[in-house]
Formats: sequence, structure tokens, C-alpha cells
Amino acid sequence: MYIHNYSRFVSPPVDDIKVYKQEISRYTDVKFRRANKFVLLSLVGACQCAYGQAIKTDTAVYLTTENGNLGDTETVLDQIYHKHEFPMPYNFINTMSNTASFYVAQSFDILGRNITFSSKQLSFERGLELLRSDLGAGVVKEALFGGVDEVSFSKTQFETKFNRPYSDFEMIEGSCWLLIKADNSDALGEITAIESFGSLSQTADWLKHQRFKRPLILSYGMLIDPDQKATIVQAVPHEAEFDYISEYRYFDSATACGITGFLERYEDATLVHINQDFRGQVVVLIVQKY
Amino acid sequence: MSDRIYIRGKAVNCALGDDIERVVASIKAGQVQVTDVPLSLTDSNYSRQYFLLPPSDSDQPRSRETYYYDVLFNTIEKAIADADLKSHEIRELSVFFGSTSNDIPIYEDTYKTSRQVLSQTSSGYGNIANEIANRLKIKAGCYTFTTACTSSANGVIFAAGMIAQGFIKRALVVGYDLFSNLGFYGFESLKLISPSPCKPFDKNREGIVIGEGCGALILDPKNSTPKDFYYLGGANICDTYSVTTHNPEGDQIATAIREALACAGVESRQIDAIKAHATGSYHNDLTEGNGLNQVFNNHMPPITGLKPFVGHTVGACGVIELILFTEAVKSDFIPATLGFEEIDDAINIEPITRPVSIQTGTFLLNYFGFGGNCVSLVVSNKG
Repeated sequence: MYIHNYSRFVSPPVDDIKVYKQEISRYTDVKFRRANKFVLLSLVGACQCAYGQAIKTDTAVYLTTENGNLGDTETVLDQIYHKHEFPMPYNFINTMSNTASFYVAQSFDILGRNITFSSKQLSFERGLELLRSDLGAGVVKEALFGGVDEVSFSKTQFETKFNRPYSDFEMIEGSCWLLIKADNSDALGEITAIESFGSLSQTADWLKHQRFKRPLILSYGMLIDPDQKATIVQAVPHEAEFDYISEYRYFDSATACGITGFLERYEDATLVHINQDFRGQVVVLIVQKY
Repeated sequence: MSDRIYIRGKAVNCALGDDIERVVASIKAGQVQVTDVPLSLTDSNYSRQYFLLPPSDSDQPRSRETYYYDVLFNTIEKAIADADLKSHEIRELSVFFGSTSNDIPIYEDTYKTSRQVLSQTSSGYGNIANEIANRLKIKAGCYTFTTACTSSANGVIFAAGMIAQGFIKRALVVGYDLFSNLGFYGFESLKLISPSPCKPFDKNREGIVIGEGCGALILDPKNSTPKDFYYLGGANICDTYSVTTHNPEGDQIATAIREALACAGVESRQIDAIKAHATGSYHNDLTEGNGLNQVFNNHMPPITGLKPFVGHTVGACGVIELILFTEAVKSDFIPATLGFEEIDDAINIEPITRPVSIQTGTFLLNYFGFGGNCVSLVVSNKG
């Protein structure tokens, strides 16, 4: 899985979607009149990633997200239950989050495989597993692969979900994308492994027996706690840790920000990114930047 | 794809019930059970039909959340029992979940008295698959697809692909959409819901009739019985013509069908029958018909649509209709297309109006959705 380009778009919460429309207009003349915030956010990152690249017609789109189009879903439910009106048609259509991956495809006129996908706290990693399978089968040769989420949390919901103080985290919204190909010519990096484990101790055991190209950078997903980090640090000799959540702030597709942030910052280095879900399932991504 | 991936176990709960043999018998007999649901939330003075799940035998009043999970877990447990999975095989299942509404049916009643409920309480699209994994003590990954009406059909494609590539051992694929006012009022706002029974491909078709339901499949390199169907191939492509409709010429639909046939390693002449998406909406039937004509031309096999029996179960229809179709064939027939009377010259598709006798074959199943998603599957039970 060779990485040919990337984009890392993050922003403090935006109330006026014109900001995103203006950003998109730097990359495309297509007007997205009926697009909502989630769609526009998806387009910003995808356009940045595809800019200057020759995107082929059969390119696939994999949009991973934890929450998708929550905004329009709230609008439609409010229209039905409180205003006692039928929803506006495009509000309803935009409740289906795959409208975002559709508009990404439409903006580049690409007709390949197209999915919107989620996996609680591991959406980006599990989505990459699907892409790896498709590349292996030869049904996809190149793909725009993104992690996109708006700010969606209330304080109560955040603290209930993560059992962490809300005040420790500044929320952002983000749209971070990779252009991934089966072809390695002119690639700037690659995803060399996606490994899944039933526990962190199994993960540490596996990591102990790997040989990585150095320098090696460690990074962690939201749910890896300090004790678990200590276990990993002991298992893997490394040159640095990359705390992208502290640096760029948090949104639910933060892994996408971590991977693209690594690609932006490091040269000739290896990233070991460890993330887990609420069931304790761990996924390790190994990314090399040439 | 060289190695077969079998439908080792299955279960369904739809408007015709949750006993698969009775459901298939009802389909063979042309029986339906549909309910008139008033659009009272908008103070409208009319109703629309909806294929609701039959009332359960339980005397206990249940919350919407309890009901949601009862339907889901009962269906999954039946599929697992049907596959005769051992406990270690259950733990090794990867979960592929496809839905349009996801957890909205759990929360939306709360909107009668509150606002912003979903933002405050829902914990993401992946939540239901995660709950399934927790319930079954599964130690493998969860994969949730939100591609509108192709959601669970995509679950089938990706599950089969991951098994074929050796990344997972076996998969539980679930398609689930319960009644939701968001969908009911939303489709009505688009003027897509028919005021009369669903009549796919008919000249006088007036739209879709929505249904609720849950289907669960166990996909496995091992089969349970020699009669089990196996997955041969599939395709997912995007038609960028419009977010709501496909290219009227059916070009991308034809491409999806051709890619699915190529993936399955079969020629169009080898397809014994087609389960069309056949929603009964003007545009869907037109575009699908044109796509089918491009591929099959003068060699059109028997075509049927299942939505007149169970409704358009939106994101769940991928798994539900795959089960209903394959179980009908295992009962030696291809279901008739209820409601079809008069051919539409603009489409030139004439689905079967009486059950057709068949025991084995290779079959094409089509699914299309908002967001340009085009999915075709090829399954077989030959030798």
C-alpha cells in the first residue's frame, strides 16, 4: 500500500460553512450548492490530497468516519418532531453520509469503488484493512482514503464515552486523506503493516519481535492509557514519540491526522501507531516515510 | 476467486415473519402483510403503506431500545444456530453491519420531548456492530457500512473479499433497518413512496413501499449442507450522475453488473435468473432496466423483484433479499414479481409473474442506492 500524497486539514469548529466552500474553491470550479458541512469538510481534505495528482477514472473512494452527517440528521428530526414539517429533501438525502463520498467521486469524475465506513474508534484502521484486501484482490488499484469527522461532542457525552475530563481536550474538526496506490513508483511512503490483536500484551509481544527501519516514531490513539504506553515503550526501542492529539487537538478520526501529520513532519522514518477500541481490540499501523 | 465462500447459516425477520420456511411459503403463495401508517407527525390527513414486522408474542411492553436489540440478537442467534457454529467459531467471527438508519430508531422517539438527542447520546455509526461483538464475545474486528440502500450488500462483498484474501476466518454479515420516522417522512418528502402497492417495472408504477427487517448471514469457507449457496463475486462502483438517481441510460449499472460477472468468472449467458433491485420507483426501474438490457440484450434470464413481499428494507435489503432469494431457490422456485401487470415500453423489462421452477443455478442480485452506489452480487448453488 504505497502512499503517493496526503492532506491534513484540521480546523477549530466552524459555524459558517462558507469557510469550507472558499477553501474548496482553491482546488476546483465545481459548486456544491446542496452540500452540508460534513460533505464540504470531506471535500476540503480530498481536494487538497488530490491536487496536482493525475486521478484516474477507476480510483476508489473510502471515506471513514465515526459520526458522519450528524448535523443534518438533527435538522431533519427537528423538522419532523418539532416543526411538524416534512424534511427538506436535501437535508434528508444528506443524512446518508455516503453523499460525502459521492461528492468526492463526482468532483474528480471517478467511478471506482465507493464506500463510507465506520468502526468504533478504529474506523481509519479497519478501513485500511478493507483497502488492503481490495488491493490484494486487484479490484482496486488506487484509492482516495480519508478520515473525516465534525466536532460533535457535548461535554457530558465526551466524558461518558472516554472517561476523561473534557477540559483536557480541545475539539477540532478534521479531514485527512491519503492517495494510496498498488504501484510504488514515485511513492513518498508506504503502509507496511496493519496488524490486529486481542489485547495490548499480545501487541507488545509482537512488536518486540519486529525489526523496524530507524528512526522509529511511536504514536497512540485516544484510548491507549499511560500504563499501556509504558508497556509499548518498553517493548519497542524508539527515537521519539509523536503526540499528535496534544499537538493538533482531537476529533474522532484523529488517527488520520496522526498518520498524515507523521508524513508531513518526518523524512526517512518509520511510524508505529497503536490504537484500540472499547473492546480492547488493538490495531497497529506501520507507516514508512521515504 | 478460486475458493468458495458459503452462506453457512442465515436468519431473517421481515414483514412475513421470522420463520424462514413460512416466509418462503408465503412468498410462493403470493401473500403479503402490509400496514397503513398515518403521517400524523406532520398533521397530514393521509397514510402510506409500510411493511412492518409482525407483532411479537411477548406480553411485556418493551422500550424501543429493548425491542431494537431483541430483533437484532434473535436474528443473529438464529443464524448462528443455523450455521451450527462452535463457541470458538463464534469468537472468531468478524462483524459486517450494514444499515441506513443505524441506531436512529432507538433514539428518535425521544425527540417528541427533546432536541439534539442523537448528538448527546449516540456514540457513532460503529456502535451497533460493537454491541453485537460484545454480546457474542467476539475477538475479531467490526466493519460498519453506511452506503444507503447498498449498505449490507457492501457488507457481503467486503466480508467475502476479506475471507478470500485470508484476512479473516469467517463473517457475520447483518443488514438491519427498523422503522424510522426519519426515513418514512424523508422518502415521502422526496415523493418516492407509492400511494398504491409496489409494482416494480410496471408501466403504472408509483414508487416504493418501505419495509423494516433484519437479516443475518454466516459466510464461511465451510458449508453446513451440500445445498448451501456460495458467493462467486461482486462489484461496487459509483455512478456520479446524481446523488439521488443513476444515469438514465444505465451505463454505470451495466458496468457494475459486468464487473460482478467478471469477478465471479461467469458470462452473462450463464446467469439463470436475476433478483433485480426493483424498487418500483420511476427512475430506479428505468435505470436498472436499461442497465440490464445493455448487459443481457437478447438473452435476458428470468427477472424478479422481492420488494412487493417485504418492502424496501433500505440498507438491510442486501442481506434480507439475498436470504429470501436463495431460500426460495432451495425450495425449488424463483418468486414471482407481485404487482406487475403492464410492460413499460421505455424499459422493456418483463419480470416473471408466476413462480418459476428451478433447483440449482447461478444468479445475479442487484442493489442500488443514493450516493451513486451500484452493487451487484453473483451467487450459485451449482455442484
